[in-house]
Amino acid sequence: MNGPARIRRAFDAAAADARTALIAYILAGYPTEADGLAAAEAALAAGADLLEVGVPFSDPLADGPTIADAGRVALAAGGGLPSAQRLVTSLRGRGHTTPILVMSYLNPLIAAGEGQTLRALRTAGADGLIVPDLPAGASPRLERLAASLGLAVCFLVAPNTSRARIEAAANATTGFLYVVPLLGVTGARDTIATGARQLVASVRELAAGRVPVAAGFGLSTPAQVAALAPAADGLIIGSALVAAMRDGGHQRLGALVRSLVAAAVHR
Amino acid sequence: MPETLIPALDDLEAAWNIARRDSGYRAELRRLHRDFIGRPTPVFAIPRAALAERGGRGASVWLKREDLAHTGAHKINNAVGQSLLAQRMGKPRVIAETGAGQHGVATATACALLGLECIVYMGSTDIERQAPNVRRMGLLGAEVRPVTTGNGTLRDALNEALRDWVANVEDTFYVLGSAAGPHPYPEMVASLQEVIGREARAQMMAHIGRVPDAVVACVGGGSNAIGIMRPFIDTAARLIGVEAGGRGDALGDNAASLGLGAPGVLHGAFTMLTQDAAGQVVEPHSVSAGLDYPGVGPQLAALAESGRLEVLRATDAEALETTTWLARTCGIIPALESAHAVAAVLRMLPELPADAHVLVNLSGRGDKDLGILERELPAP
Ligand SMILES: Cc1ncc(COP(=O)(O)O)c(C=O)c1O
Repeated sequence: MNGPARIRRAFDAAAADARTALIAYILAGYPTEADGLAAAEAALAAGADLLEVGVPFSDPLADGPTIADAGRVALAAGGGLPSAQRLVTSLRGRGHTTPILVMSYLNPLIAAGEGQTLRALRTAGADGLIVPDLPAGASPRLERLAASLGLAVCFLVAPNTSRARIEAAANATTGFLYVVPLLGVTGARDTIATGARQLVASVRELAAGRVPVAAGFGLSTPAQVAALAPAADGLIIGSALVAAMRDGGHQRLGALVRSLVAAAVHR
Repeated sequence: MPETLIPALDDLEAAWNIARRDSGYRAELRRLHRDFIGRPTPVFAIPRAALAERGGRGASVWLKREDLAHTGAHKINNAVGQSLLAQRMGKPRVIAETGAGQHGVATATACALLGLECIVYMGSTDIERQAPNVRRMGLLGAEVRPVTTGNGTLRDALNEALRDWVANVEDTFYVLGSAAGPHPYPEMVASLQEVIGREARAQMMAHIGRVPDAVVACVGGGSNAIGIMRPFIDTAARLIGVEAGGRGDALGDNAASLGLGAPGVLHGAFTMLTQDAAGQVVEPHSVSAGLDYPGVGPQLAALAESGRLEVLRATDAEALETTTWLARTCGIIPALESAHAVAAVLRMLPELPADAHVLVNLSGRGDKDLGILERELPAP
């Protein structure tokens, strides 16, 4: 099954269960390559519907301190795109069929030639890409390449994104449309940004069923997930999971994912 | 670039395109150039005798004295131009990144004049090695925010400034300090720095009746280089960019993104980067805090690719030696950044014919580097 179809099916399955899909972000290679694999397996065992595999990068300008600091640790331990690719290969080797999206800044994807790199990621078993520093339309070549390989691409929209650009992002997206409900970088916030629910709802209306709509950045607690779940097809948890990994290893991460999945059930 | 910044970059481009054609904006910029910055800055020929010491056979070396611009470097040309634009756009809050502190001081200065709030991100390593500039920014009413992520240098400061901009994009103007980063910055900054080359071309015509044989500048992000070179692109003058050769040619030992780097994407620009095979950007090294940017402006990258721009390197040791030499023989203490350009010219000197004229951008003065010089040079 190609990436877009597998991603779509995961959202549909969650919806059929009266749940919002829970998307777990795992930082590959954090704090070591083996720990990254343990983290991913813990998230999957806890019921995550989709997995985002984050690639540590030297200049993570869309990330707040939690992921940026963890990324530095992972890089120092040999992390990066090759290590993230090994993580995907290992997960598929262990029989996991959950959709996996690789989240990477653009430069590691193009350094060795994007054709070769995207093909290798697809071969490893990745279903899609999220590139936080690549706006829709900025690299038609990458979009075409991904499409030809059966790799989904997910574009991001923010509170200040114009209607026209949301349309463009929805059209270019072949995985899920990634709504960043706040102006800012990744990182847990105490409260959900004002207007977040409305933004997600209006983006979902604009997307009009073309692609699922998921929200991420700033979400960390089951209460926040419960509050946003009715508005979104999916919710993405990143920094909170990286922090759980940092403070309590994959056991704590698994426990958090379990509680988040439970909170994503529609009531 | 993150999607959040796309509307801000679009707004900036639109505002810049109006401002640069607007007679009011241009007149105000001209007034500030003359009365605030002290433009035009002169060109000054290094005394013959001094050059002879270094194997010169009669060739002339002209210094474009950006060190005499207000606040001591070319950075002020850009900072004033962008801060004026911030004021026009009604953005009360200005942020900037700085490496050597020269761009931070320049932005703090422009903001003080124009009544704008100013926050400068500066790597903690740079705060240590450019302490006087940190104090100057404080005195000018700017807030200096130390950046401890990464290696605490220029690129970390730039990352942090971009994070701030993403979060405060509505009321904040980002005054980027070099001809690098996302569109429209490279073009805007190059336009604002072009005054260096326009003046220098007219001054050389007045002094020698022709354009020089070569135009030389140090290359960090590339603003002083593109600024002095652009008016000479369509002439026969050789264009020579001098990168920081640091302590050697190994990855991480220099800041030679053009000469030793590989193409990639950083900070919204496709350009040459110091990076490893997996696309991780590697921290550059230079004794000068203003040259250790891991990328370079896309215009210079294109000029180098086409062969129009020759790319050389000067090492830490050469820059330090040249700094002392210029101080002792000319009474000019150059910024360590600018000393790289002069060092490359000194190396070329024995091969230059007697009738050659070389124009060098002396992009800044060296007062800020006294701490480094004290550490790196034996006591006189
Ligand atoms: C005096 C001086 N020259 C040169 C540079 C390098 O920047 P650019 O390459 O943009 O001119 C700096 C940067 O701080 C500087 O302070």
